[in-house]
Amino acid sequence: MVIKDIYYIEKENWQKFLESLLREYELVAPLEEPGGFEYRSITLENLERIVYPGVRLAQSAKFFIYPPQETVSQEESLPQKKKVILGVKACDLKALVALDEIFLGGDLVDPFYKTWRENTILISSDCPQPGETCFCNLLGGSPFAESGFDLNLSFIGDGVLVDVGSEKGKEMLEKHNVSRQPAEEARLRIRDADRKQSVEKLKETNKEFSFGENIADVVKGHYESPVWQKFAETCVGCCACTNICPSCHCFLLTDLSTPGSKLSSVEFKKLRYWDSCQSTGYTRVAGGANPRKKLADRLKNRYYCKFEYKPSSFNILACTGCGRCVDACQGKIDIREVLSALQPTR
Amino acid sequence: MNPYLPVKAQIEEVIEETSNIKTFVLKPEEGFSFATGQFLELTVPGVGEAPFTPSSSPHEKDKVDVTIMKVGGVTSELHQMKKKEVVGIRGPYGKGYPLDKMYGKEVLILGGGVGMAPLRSFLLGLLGEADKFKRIILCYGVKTPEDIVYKSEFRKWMKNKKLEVYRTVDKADKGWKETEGVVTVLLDKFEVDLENSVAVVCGPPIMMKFGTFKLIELGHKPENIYLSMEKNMSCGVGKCGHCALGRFFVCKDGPVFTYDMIKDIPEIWD
Ligand SMILES: Cc1cc2nc3c(=O)[nH]c(=O)nc-3n(C[C@H](O)[C@H](O)[C@H](O)COP(=O)(O)OP(=O)(O)OC[C@H]3O[C@@H](n4cnc5c(N)ncnc54)[C@H](O)[C@@H]3O)c2cc1C
Ligand code: SF4
Ligand code: SF4
Ligand code: FES
Repeated sequence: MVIKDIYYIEKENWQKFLESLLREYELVAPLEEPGGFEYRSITLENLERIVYPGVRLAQSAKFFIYPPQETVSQEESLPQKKKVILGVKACDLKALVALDEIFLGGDLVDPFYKTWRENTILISSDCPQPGETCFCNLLGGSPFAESGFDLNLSFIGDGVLVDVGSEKGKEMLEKHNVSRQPAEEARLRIRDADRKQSVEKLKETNKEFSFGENIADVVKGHYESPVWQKFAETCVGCCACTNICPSCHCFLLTDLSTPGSKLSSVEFKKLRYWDSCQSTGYTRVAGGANPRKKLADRLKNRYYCKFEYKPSSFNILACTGCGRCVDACQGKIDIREVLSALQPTR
Repeated sequence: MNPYLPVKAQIEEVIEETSNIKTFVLKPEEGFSFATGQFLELTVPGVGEAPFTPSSSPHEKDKVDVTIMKVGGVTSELHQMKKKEVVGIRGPYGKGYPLDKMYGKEVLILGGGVGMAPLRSFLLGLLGEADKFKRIILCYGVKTPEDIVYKSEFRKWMKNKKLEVYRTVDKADKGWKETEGVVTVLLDKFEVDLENSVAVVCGPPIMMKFGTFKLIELGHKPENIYLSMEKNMSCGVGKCGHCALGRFFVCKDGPVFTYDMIKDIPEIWD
């Protein structure tokens, strides 16, 4: 569904709108904390402290829809209030599209993911200050969202341009009766100029990197390349890259069931945790055989998963270019350098 | 529907096959039907969960057998369990053997060790409609005569006119009158019509590898060789990523693959 309404809302009125939302929704938004920007639960007390960082946070929207640890044995209980997440970025939204394919696609739907997804409202905002590790532009993305949001915000001057991206977003604006006016040409032009500037900044940041003609071919034919071993030299196997990644979906089911000798006394309980293909035991089978024993095998798998396997079996690129893994890596491995090193011209 | 929640199943009987393999006859609380070659996830409550292939006939509806080798955490605990105790099962998952594609053909079954579990189910599936197949050949290899599973059933199978049975052991003892040597030597004992046959292989990775290579060498076509792949699994339903084999998820796209589908994937035998 494409809804093309764009409104201009004065900052003051936007703030009132958020206050009104608190009555109906659980609101999560970035605050500036001693350690940097972090998502926090919003109340009337800290509402004034909401900020709109110019770039993604360390935490991605995934955390709220597919939490790091979750009980998956009870019938999915609906969250009491729907959740609104403010300030997510274009790369977060793209990652959710990838997660949707995994969890909602196929013959079996993941009921837990589905519940959280349906009960979460996403308000994204543009990226006026892309970071040094951001490279969405090299993967067909841009530093502002074009789809996948309920509302999108572009701050200009004393107000905000609000794109309506879904029926949910539209209803929310209407119901909470925010004072708004259709966006004027002049304001849209300012936004276009701002967005263009961000795109230019991204290009400048990433000018050293190139992933070849076609991103679909970026790892093709490089299975035996020495590049994997070379970059694995500094890998410590900490799994930070997959844990921070907004589009990694892997998990491990663990059993906490109550045993019993009678049918009635047995009670099943399953807990799932995020897991990582970078951990040693991930592919280990009984008897000790393990197809990915070496760090380099596991490092390589992450790239093949994201750039070859997921595109060919799910039709998704499982990397959005958010650069979080570059920031998180203890071994200073930069995914952009790895992908560039594979290209024959370099 | 919650795909992660097992149904309860009571252990009706425990059959000792060998010193480290037992068959558990399970009676699920709810009906459980499967296609032969599909697998289930079995929960030992409070311990963990692991994938196993039913070894009973797909025609049997209210009981399901699993034949399990004791190798680690979950399987050791399971081996301690007795009649009447309760486990959980969920499934069936994945794609089984396409029996309909085998109608009218010569079916060669090549099994090793506990890999006979899914093959027993497959064989019982075939025997349930034996007239539909031109010929059924069963080749089975184990380390020593002690390690043979389904010993009493083998006696019946060896007398069955519909079935040709060949067995070998790596190391014979005094009583052993059949072949000695690795399982692939059995393949030299007969000829099949390569234009009208399929081969179905299941066993330890090393046996699968050399079994497949030998079949190829003998002229079997990659698209007619069916392999049951064993990979680490957790969810069983295509969500958790563990079982990835190249672009496939073994739990969802397999566990049965033709060799043709996976032959170019570098990590298949590891
Ligand atoms: C489709 C399919 C069908 C199968 N059918 C049969 C069958 O019919 N009969 C049969 O006997 N077997 C079968 N198997 C094999 C069976 O699933 C394994 O033997 C079983 O999982 C072993 O479980 P375990 O806990 O006893 O072994 P363990 O070796 O203790 O554990 C195996 C699992 O736990 C994990 N694990 C254990 N220790 C560690 C560690 N230190 N670090 C990280 N991870 C660890 C492994 O990664 C693995 O997932 C099948 C497997 C598959 C995939
Ligand atoms: S692989 Fe790295 S850059 Fe790509 S989506 Fe994951 S964290 Fe972001
Ligand atoms: S296999 Fe690895 S790279 Fe792919 S989704 Fe799972 S953890 Fe991420
Ligand atoms: S076992 Fe989870 S995806 Fe296959």
